[in-house]
Amino acid sequence: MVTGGLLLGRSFPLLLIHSNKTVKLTHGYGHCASYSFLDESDSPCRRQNSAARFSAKTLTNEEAPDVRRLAQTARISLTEQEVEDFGPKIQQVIEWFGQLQGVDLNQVDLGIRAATAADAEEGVNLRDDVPVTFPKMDAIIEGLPSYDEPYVRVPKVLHKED
Amino acid sequence: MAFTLFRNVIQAQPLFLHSSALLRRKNGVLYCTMKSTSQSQTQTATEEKQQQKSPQKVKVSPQKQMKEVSKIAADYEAVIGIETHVQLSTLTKAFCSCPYSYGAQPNTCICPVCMGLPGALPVLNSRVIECAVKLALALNCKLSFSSKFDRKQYFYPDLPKGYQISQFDIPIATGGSIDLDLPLEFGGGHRRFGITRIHMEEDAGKLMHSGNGSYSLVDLNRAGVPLLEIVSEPDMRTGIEASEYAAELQRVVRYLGVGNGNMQEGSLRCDVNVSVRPIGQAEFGTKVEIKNLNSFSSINRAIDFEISRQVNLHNQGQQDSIVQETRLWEEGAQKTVTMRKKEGLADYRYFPEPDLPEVVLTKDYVDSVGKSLPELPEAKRRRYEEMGLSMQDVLFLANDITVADFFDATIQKGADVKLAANWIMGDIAAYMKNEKLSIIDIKLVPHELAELIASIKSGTISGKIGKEILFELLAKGGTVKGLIEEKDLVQITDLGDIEKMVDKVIAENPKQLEQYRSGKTKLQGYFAGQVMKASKGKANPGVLNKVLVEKLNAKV
Repeated sequence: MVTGGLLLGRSFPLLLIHSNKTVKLTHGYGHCASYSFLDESDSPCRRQNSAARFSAKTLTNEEAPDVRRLAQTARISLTEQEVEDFGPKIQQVIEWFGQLQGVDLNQVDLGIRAATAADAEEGVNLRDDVPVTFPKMDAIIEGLPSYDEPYVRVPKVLHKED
Repeated sequence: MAFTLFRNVIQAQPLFLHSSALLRRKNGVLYCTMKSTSQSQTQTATEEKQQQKSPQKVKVSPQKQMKEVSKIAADYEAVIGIETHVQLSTLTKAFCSCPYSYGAQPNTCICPVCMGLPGALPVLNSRVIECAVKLALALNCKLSFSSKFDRKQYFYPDLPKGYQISQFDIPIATGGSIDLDLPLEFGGGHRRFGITRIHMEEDAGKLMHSGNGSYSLVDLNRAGVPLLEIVSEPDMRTGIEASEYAAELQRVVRYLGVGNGNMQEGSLRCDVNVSVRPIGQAEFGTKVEIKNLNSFSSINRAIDFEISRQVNLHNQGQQDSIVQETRLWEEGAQKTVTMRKKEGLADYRYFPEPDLPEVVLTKDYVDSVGKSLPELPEAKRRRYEEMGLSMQDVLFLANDITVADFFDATIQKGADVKLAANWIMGDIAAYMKNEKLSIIDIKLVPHELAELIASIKSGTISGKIGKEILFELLAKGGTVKGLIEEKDLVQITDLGDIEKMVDKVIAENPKQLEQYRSGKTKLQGYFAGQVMKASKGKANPGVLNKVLVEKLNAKV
């Protein structure tokens, strides 16, 4: 089972897609946002040459990615054609990461997580417990797609699994 | 409890490849510190009492209850685990500086971080770590000096970011225990239950479903409020053990000052997992989760109901109809009902939160937090026991840290331990209940209580006068010495003075004297009352009665 979200940017899990398509992301709120992705020349999959292509068997399971399930958990709607196309492409991405298997880690201390930009920043790690009222709450409220004062109105979803 | 957490399949592959060491964990090792189940026999009588005490008009036939429970005790064993969420009473939320106050106008404690708006980044509140370390030390846990946050991903309207920042495989604390004493009306006894883990996470907003409409309403004030999740080992065996576990957690949380642990407000939430198995069987039975428990007594009653329900199914040969599911406790109907069947396990796609650095603790930091811990409820109870107090007194006094502090301050001034306990548990507690005040609000201060006790002990004032003074002190404050002087309350113990008063009263009541002498010896009380009245309650009762008996029976 392939991971449902590969992190690229800071806040949004995105599916790296080997195409120039615009993909509609549908959230559970019925919200829509469109994102354009890298064009083909930038795609990391392209850069990979066949010699370096690495069998990522040790990293992934033997099964092909269950694209339908992936899309469901990420709340992304795909056409039938996309479901067919994306499987192998996702597998390629995984295999590209699989190159890391070749790194010798015997001399390396075990860490509990990969260091990210958050670790590099000095002095921003912890915050004192001092309240600060956000000055532009009105702007946040105004930006809500559906406001039923004083609440945010959302579609009725009864169970977390739905 | 432990069952649920470690069965979630890790979907996110960590990007460095020595993953095997990380993914090793105590999967499925469910050791139990088994406690005797013989207590359940004594609980039957007390359970019916509990039912009668509960505010709901519950029609439960005590005989049926007893029959059920004894059947259970004989053939089956219940296995109970509890997951508790404690809302921390920090001034700001976990990952942003929004102030949080319960009951504030909806959607007025928000900012881009807790609203999950694009570009916003979390920054951890240092006090959250402090609270987590305090609680972990209080529950005898092993601290992870290095832990991390993970994203628990799912879509739900009260979860702005689409994920909850939590801790998955490396929580801040593991492997602890909690000690408690069962209340006497349930048979008493000491228990120790294991704690599997404690981790930090953030709360979601509050979701309200409209009755008929196709929409729901969300208040995001609570989104981002820090929580500590405490998972117990499946060590509890009865409803009362489970509810006392929750009550003790509340006590510890309040003692530490990390939260107000209020179930009604939602700052303490418990989800309970119950399964039964025939006695002697090693494997656990199918476990059922129960939600919507709003008080300790609901925890107790819901578990007992669920145990009977499952045992009955076993007895009818229908144990296969017990499925892993979530049931809701219905307070009105006093039963659990199916909420939904669990269709497979939820896939939360955990992966390490890249926006937050590692949580690193130093030994110095942990030691300094340890030094700042107050005396915990368990230690207090043992100390009070050693002072010679009865278990009933111990449980009462140690229950609330403010009461315990008042008591400790009183005896520090030299007051007699047992007398101080009696005053606090009796008249003072009654006053607090009537006036709906806490012990911090009353005008009486510990050293005046000590003074009062000493004055009575030395005979300066009588016990009855003491009670009057107490009432005055509770309501208006002041000093014992001051009141004695002001109202001229010093006890009269001088023999001569009392004899004079008795003579006078006897002289003024010839008829009653006649009746007494002819056999109505109960009239001694009447004479005593008259002398008390004349002396404004100051006559020493002991001396008075001695003199009365002498004089009434003399002059035949």
